[in-house]
Amino acid sequence: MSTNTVDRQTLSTTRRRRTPTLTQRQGRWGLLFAAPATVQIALWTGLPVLVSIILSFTNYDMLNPPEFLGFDNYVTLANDPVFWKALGNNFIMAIVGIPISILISLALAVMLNQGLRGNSIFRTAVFLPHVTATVAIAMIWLWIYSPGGNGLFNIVLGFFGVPNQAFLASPSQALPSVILVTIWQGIGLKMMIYLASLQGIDQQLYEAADIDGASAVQKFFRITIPMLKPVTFFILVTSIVGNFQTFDLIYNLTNGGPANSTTVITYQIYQTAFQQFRMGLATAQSVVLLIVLVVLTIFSRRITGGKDD
Amino acid sequence: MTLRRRDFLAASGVSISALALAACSGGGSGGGGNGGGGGGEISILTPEFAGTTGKAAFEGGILDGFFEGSEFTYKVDYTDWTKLNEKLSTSVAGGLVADMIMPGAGWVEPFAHKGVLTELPESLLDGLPVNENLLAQCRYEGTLHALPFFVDGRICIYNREMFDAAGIADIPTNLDDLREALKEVTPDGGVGIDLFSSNIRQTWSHLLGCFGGRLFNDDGTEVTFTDGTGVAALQYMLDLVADGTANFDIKGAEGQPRPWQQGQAAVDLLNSSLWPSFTEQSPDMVTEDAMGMFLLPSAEAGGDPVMWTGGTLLTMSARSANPEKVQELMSYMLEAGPLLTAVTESGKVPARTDIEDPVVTDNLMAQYTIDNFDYATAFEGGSPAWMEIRGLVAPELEAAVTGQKTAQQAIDALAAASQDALSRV
Amino acid sequence: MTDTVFPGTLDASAGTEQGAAERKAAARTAKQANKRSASTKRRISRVALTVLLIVVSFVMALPFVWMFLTSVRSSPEIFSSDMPMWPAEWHWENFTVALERAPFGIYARNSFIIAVVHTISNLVFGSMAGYALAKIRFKGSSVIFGFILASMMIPFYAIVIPEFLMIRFVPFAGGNDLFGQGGTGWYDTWWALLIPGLVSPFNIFLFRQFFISTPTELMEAARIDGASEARTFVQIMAPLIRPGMLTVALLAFEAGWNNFLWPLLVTSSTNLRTIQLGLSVFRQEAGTEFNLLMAGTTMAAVPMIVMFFFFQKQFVNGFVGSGLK
Repeated sequence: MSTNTVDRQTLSTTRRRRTPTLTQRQGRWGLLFAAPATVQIALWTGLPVLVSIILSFTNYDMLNPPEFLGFDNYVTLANDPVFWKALGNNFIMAIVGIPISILISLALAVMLNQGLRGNSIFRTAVFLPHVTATVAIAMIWLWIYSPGGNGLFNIVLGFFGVPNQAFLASPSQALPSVILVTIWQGIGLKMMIYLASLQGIDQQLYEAADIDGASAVQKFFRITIPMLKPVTFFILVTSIVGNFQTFDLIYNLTNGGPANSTTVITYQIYQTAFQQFRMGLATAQSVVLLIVLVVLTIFSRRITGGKDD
Repeated sequence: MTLRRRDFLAASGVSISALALAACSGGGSGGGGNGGGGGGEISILTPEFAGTTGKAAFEGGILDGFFEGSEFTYKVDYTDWTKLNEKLSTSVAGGLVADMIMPGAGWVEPFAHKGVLTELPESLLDGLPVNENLLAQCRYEGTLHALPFFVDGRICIYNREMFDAAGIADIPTNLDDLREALKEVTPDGGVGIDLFSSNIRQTWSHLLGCFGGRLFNDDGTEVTFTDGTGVAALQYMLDLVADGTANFDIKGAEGQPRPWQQGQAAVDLLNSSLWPSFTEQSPDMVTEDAMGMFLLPSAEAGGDPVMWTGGTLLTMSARSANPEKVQELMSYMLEAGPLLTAVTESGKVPARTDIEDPVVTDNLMAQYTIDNFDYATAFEGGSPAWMEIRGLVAPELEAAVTGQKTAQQAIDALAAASQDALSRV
Repeated sequence: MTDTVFPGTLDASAGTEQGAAERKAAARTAKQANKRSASTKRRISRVALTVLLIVVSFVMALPFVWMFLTSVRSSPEIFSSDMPMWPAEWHWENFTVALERAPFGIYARNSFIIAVVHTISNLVFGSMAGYALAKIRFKGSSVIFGFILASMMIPFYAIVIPEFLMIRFVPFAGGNDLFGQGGTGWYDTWWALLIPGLVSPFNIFLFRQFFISTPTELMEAARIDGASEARTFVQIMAPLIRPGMLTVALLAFEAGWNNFLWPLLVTSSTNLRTIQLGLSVFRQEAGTEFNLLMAGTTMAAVPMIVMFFFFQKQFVNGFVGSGLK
């Protein structure tokens, strides 16, 4: 033990003496490691995003050369109730759906990490919605929600004497119905990432806690949760981004209806760009979305614990 | 560090200049570059003929026959119906647009207006047995821009057993009679007529026609459904819902049978192109004995019925380097033989009226559609702003059907949004 | 970095063999002490847990099972008014019929190539970038990280046109000149399918978050031992996040395998199309052939399910094991 301490002291003095060169050397390596991916993304995503931002100030229709419009597109958006409705729907979906699905997937990951019999089967089952094509998922949920007497939910409700509900055909029930599907669909991926992250937690932490007589609950909140923080930040941010980019499900399930009650921002962007051919306006919508997401990301960084994440 | 930055700048510089060029030229340079007299490649963009059998029918059965011995070759780009717009707009933006494009009704005016599609000589119609009613959706500003290939007719099919049980022997000839008849034939827990499995926008515009209305004026610069016909059409839908003979909740979603197939609806307002699906899914219900057909009648007693029509069209890119060859190909595809090959593969309704093959005559819905071409009217399109307007229609109609708005409010909102779109054209 | 979050990390990993052994022994004694009272309780909770997981698994797997059952039904059965839950007849031939409807061999090969290339490139470039952003302090790292996050935030539909134009105007490719004019660039080539998706910002971000929890001390120790940065990364740090690597591999493979819209837009030849495009054969304007669509969709999902099944087997050392067993 004592030699260990000495080693550390020498080590830290050496390090202090060599600091400038080491940092410099590290810095070069850091850039080198990050460069290929950064250049790739700058080229194939960054540049198109830049072009999109420029196009958001034009009337580009993809078929003819764009003309500069100034802030007209943004003024149009500010006065478009459907755009605000879509943004609002996204916020509702995010606020309701994300916490629930994160909690469920965390709980499932912990349960499925216990080496129960049939673990592999359970894990695969939970992951299945993620690998099932959205078209197929939409079709079965359309059946589950079917408002006539033949829908699964209405059969079950009928058993308890509840009259038929319209679900996706009702402007007030459609959004909650969609949120339930997004939660169900998103659990598998989050569960898997949590599961992978649980693998990385040093077992000795738990053993040390055992010596201190910590209960399972204490260990969960004092060790597991803090160790999962970086991945929780990832899951939170990607859930928010994914939520605000929900498209396939809406497209296949409701087409934004009835009466725009389930329209979301990406669906509006798609409609504006490829159904109405107003690419300029669609890119302006995307820029607003980008700003919203940047703000939300900064916010999630706060709530998942400071800048060290 | 400096090296990296230079690399990056160089890379982005090249790309930005390329993009700038692209944006400025609008892809004007044109793709392929094989123009001129001595041969070349004819490219075709089609949402039809998907899959192995479709490809065999289109290429082996039609195109090979046309291109054999010619200096030209062909290349077919098969795309998904739902992604036709994406495919079309990216290829136009990139200057790689196909010589021949096969869009649906409603595409012609907007794309002709934007200069993507070009005019076709009227001489292509010479001797072609095609009903004049089918050409309305092919014209832009009075000139021919497309040829009809397949036709979709929106017809009503009814369950004879239900009609007989209700004692309805005569098919209603006006909308009021239809409304009364539907009250008689509505089965328990079902609907008299299924108005909502088909696209609600198309159902409304169909009824609009029954009330004698049109979406746009002749040159497509103003909406005309504000003359009361639009409200009347929507109110008729609301009345049926109030009667309990139509129900927004009872409709066939993807992956589920339509209510009519399950005996939950006495009448189904559907597209004639569903025939192949119905014969496979519910063969016993679509026999001549079990199923009858009629067109949505006029609102006025004694008026003509109305058949809503859409279809697949043949159009030519304005940038095609070989317009004559493309027009020849169009004419060839509309000859009886090649068209029959196409119809055999797709089960759709041919635009020609003279195809007397069992493929057509045994297809009850197709034959009925052909027999009623005199009542055919195209309601999709009619204005260069149609692409912008069509997405606005369904939400307003749904708001009315689900009780959030009155018919008048919904149509007023739709009219205002449509005028806004028209003002930008 | 993690030290501030959890000081225990340092002690635990830097502790001597002897210390660890002592602690283990102590834990064992502690466990044995309340073993008897806990064991019954534990058994009950395990049964309850298993029952709960069976219910959850059923709910999650139901659509897939339904999809599979639909794939073996006959068309009239699907559209009859009283479709039985269990297919009356099993039409296995739906699978062979589906396979004949489009050149699925070519489509599967193409999807597979895209998936493999994207998996490798994401693992290599993504892990390098994630490592640098998590573990190495360098000028501009926070800017790069912010940029990578931001690049996930614009929906594909908004950038598809510029991306398409980049493919089409690649200089000196497909007959293009220096300014990208005259030819077709990478349009309808393998480059268009492979190059833009080589690295996903999503995966870099995931790698970074996995690397953050790794002990920095190991890295420093390797440096002291004179290992180069490259060696430290490849031999010391990368193996620490094996679960993360597996996760990214699975996700990257899946993304490549299920690619749909981009391949449709940048290709026109049938022999460059992918499996998801092939599936749209069953979904036509005039109607959908559900049994065939579901047969095709099931087959397309099977490789992913098999991969996941073997992949998750790597996750064995349940952490609660040390606490509960």
